[in-house]
Amino acid sequence: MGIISVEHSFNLYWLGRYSERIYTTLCTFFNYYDKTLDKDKKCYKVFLKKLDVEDKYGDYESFIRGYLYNDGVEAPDVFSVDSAFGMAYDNALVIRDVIGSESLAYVHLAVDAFHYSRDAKNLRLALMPAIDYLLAFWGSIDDRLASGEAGTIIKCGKLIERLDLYFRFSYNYKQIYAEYEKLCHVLSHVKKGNPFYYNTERLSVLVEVIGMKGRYKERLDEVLDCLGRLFEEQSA
Amino acid sequence: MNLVDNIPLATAREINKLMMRYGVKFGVYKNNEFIEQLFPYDAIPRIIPAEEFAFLNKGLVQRVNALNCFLNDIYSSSTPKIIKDKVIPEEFVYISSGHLPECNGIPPPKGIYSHISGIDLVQCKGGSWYVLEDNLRVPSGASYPLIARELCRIANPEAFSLNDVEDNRNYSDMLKDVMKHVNRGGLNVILTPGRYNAAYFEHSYLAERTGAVLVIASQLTVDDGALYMKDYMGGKARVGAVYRRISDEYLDPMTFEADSLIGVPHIMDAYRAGNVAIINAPGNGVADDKGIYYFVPKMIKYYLGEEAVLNNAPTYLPYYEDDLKFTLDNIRRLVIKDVSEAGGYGVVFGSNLSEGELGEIKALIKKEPRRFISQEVIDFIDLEIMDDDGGLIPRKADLRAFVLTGETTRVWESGLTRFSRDADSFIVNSSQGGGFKDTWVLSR
Amino acid sequence: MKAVNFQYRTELVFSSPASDHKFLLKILPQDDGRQRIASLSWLVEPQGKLWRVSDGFGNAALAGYIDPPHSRFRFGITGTAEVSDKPYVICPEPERALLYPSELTKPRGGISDFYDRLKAFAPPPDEPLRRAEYFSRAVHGHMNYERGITGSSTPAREAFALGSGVCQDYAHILLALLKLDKIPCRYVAGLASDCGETHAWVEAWANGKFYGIDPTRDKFTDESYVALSRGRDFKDCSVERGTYKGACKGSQTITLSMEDAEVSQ
Repeated sequence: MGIISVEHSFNLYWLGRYSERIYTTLCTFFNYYDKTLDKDKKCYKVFLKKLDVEDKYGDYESFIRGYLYNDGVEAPDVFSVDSAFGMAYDNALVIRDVIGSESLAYVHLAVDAFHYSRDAKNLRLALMPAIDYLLAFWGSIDDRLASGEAGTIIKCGKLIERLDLYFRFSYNYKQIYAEYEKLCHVLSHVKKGNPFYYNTERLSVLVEVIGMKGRYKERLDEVLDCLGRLFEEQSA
Repeated sequence: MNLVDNIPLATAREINKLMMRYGVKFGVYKNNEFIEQLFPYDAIPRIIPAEEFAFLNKGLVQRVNALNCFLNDIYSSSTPKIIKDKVIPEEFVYISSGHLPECNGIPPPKGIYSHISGIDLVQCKGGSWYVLEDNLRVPSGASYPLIARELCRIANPEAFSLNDVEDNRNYSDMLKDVMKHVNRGGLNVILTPGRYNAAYFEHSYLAERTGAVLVIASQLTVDDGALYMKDYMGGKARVGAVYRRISDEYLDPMTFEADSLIGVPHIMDAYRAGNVAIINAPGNGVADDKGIYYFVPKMIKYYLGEEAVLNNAPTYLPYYEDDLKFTLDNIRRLVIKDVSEAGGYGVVFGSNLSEGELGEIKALIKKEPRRFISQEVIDFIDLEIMDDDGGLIPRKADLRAFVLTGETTRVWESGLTRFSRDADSFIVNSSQGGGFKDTWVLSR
Repeated sequence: MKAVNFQYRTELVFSSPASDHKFLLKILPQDDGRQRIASLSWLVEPQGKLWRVSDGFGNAALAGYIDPPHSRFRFGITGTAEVSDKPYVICPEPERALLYPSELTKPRGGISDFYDRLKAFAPPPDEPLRRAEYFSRAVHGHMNYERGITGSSTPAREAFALGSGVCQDYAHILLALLKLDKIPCRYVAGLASDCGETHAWVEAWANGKFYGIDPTRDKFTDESYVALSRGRDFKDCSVERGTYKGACKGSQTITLSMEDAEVSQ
């Protein structure tokens, strides 16, 4: 494994975040999608609210096209699946030499599968291959970059994004705790002086909130802020 | 054995799907927008028999060795031998825009200027080969047949068990050997202008395959005459060899174009101090210039004492009285090239010109004879490509051979075969919609 | 032989702070047979990393960088040169490349017609020095000295068409004419008294010597000229090159003082 530049370390981190964003928001999206089948056509608004995204779609159908594919929206929001795929791709493409062509291929495959799904009648079925490729991508990363620095950075990104989304979508405490443990494990491999060494103050807020168990919602804004800035430099 | 039978349409589609999987793309700008598209690939390989390749090999090695001698001669002395001995008139060297006096007096590591040479050849209908152009600056394209072979072996393994094809997947090892040979101590890096460059796939793929680090300029820094790569931990590591994929004029804003944002400030100082190898060496443009091309067979004779194995396309230099007369008399069937223009610019076919235009160009040639060369138009062969329905159609095709110079000069046993998009076109450039084929060199 | 004390300073003020600033300063005069640098010191502020380099034209320069943000950049030299009263540098065989124009000194636009007109009245070809002087006078006559009309990358043909410019434009046009006349010649950047900033002139080769000719002042160079660098044109000799982040170049102040010194024995 070669030396990693500043830019590539960001690319790794954000590839971790965006690929996770696609995966978890798609899974959550389909939970809401499922609910609307029976009655509640308005529950997509809850979904958007949890993401802090303004409802510019108007109705349920436009929401689906807009949120998944940026169809009919003037300015795509950063949380849309299409945007996240774009960002994941942009970050992955420039680190072929770090993650390897085999892992990168799964990003290509996922992006292409996502674009093929666009015209499908049954979106849920059509999007399955994209999700499969994302999982294969993660498997490939785990397999090939397991212990290296690059693997650590990409996992930092992935786990921070996952915790962020689990907090936002009010996942139950047990699931959140499991992800928190994984994050702690990854962070323990990062040495002081590394830009991905945690900021002590931020981490202690996270630890406190985790300690509140199911009552974490009371400090939601604070914990989201800390996650986003976990790697900020220590204030002296 | 009919090789084409081994490549059914289904296989061709399968390989193209694999190309998408691995992102074998190149970038183009359309209406100022960057678009990535697949490089059209045709699954029927160009096949070069062993004895024919042996002949090409001999000619290519000789040609590249002579060109390296020429570059050494030009940049190591203010009065190069080949000029003193009147083999090449000095104006052809010194009016060339590729001649960079900024490189005077810098001996490149191990004396190699052109490490990776892309020599463009065509085979004419009679079977003989001609060199059309030498590319000694930043020749691109090797990665495409390299990955195409990899994918073709997956999609169509029988083709390789039935035929004796030289494995071309050693390109990355050859490249790595070259980098290792000239490395001045430190990392090997590939310097790319960035992902919006047409050949970005190639840069990233070759980095992965050779184990070199892919970098953009801002990740490199020069300190006290040595080149370093900055890492994300705030440290820096010495760089010993840079395979740069940016052209000379943008390489160092302190020496060349001052506005370059893709170059590395002071890299020329590190190079001058002998602390880093630059692959290919800056200043090579003087040797692959259209005017100098005419003299390459003479260079071979002069530096190596050998007769040139490979012929140039028949070329005339209006600079010489006889050639001027010949050019003016036969202008309708010749192609006229302005040596001061780069790329595809300044190239006109006499047959396409009106009476008035012919008069104009003749006057121009008479006024500034050394600015032009004229060439016979070579009717080069068509190769078959497969259309969307599996039918076979002919297209003009050339061959870019890759010649690598490290400890020795070696020709890669493959090459990039490019074909034109349209039936009547001679233009094979990827930017003009042309496609590519793998090139198979048979081992017996 | 005369001794000259010189002090040259440039201060750049950035409109907003510059960081990651890399620079190359071609401000180190060297001994060349006409001038001997008896003492030299330089100044670069704020303090950064500096090292000495040379280029493909035999010039010496300071390379360096300053990482932290800064709004001002100052550099300069102070020293004493002993300058010969002879306006030439000995060079038995000039580089052949000096016969051919660079991008900025191509005889395009009206320059070759101008040359054709001048040629008819030029001194005989076996007196290249007198011819060079004659062409210099013609450039001086054609041009109007005016600042702010041309820029550092203005080619000879443009300045010629404008009929106005500064010393570097005069030098570029003279180089274009000399090259048409097959006289080897080169661009010189340096210091000259009463100039207030860096100056440019030309060296034309004749009979084994490169003669300094100043088309802006229509004279041969004298003891008040100190050469800093030589090259094909302005681009090879620009005193300062720099790249930096986050800033726009604001104002630039240049000061130059030159005075006769006591000759040291």
